[in-house]
Amino acid sequence: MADSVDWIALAVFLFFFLLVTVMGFFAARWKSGPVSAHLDEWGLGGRQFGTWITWFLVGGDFYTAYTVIAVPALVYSVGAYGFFALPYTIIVYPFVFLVMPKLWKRAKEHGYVTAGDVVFGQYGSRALELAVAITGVLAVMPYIALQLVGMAAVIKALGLTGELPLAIAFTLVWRLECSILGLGWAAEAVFQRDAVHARRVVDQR
Amino acid sequence: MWILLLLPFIGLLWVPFYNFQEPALFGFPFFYWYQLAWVPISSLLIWLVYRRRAPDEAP
Repeated sequence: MADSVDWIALAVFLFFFLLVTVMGFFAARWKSGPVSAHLDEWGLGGRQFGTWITWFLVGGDFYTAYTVIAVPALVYSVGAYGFFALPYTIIVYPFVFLVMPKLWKRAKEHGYVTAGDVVFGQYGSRALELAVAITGVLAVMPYIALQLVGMAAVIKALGLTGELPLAIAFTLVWRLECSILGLGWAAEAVFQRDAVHARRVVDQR
Repeated sequence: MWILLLLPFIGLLWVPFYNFQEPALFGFPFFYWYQLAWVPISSLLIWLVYRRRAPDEAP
């Protein structure tokens, strides 16, 4: 099936992609704060996300192309080894429950946006701030690469071949994750990604 | 109360605790259903800790 385009699947994909884009434009305006040029607005959605949006964002952070494609593929190929992902995901939650509310509170009080801000604000060390920021960038790069490969695999399953799937995936990631419209759009895209993933799971049965 | 949150770490990070086929549950080897069982158990533990914290306190 790799050399023939699956038109129905492609149509479903395009439909959801257009839906995300349109809803993204609305989401960018939705709840946009008074200072749209400020970094808070871009990076944190103006600090206006409530419990529900945050819940979906956290869900979107966990259940990515890695969770939905890479881990099942690993379990198919090597069996129980792939189950490392399950304990790892479970123990994240108690940790997050203990640590993140404190971090959130402090970041809100002092107006921190990034992890680097928190470190510099609390410990007053430029070197430590730089180390944390660089670590963050370095850690995110392979992760984004992983998402690209995963997304390219999804697009390839639609029947597109060559370099096209990777090019489309790259455009999508750049558009959704790095857009200057920021988290408002990303939150919306995460809703949609969950929907598309659910759809894929149903399709595969 | 927060000490309850250590239980998932203890129960899951030491594989020899659950590296067995028996007892199976609905045909699932112990290895699999034991790990999956920790999902609801961890939720329950977090909920218990959440209930016990003071109303306006970060846990």
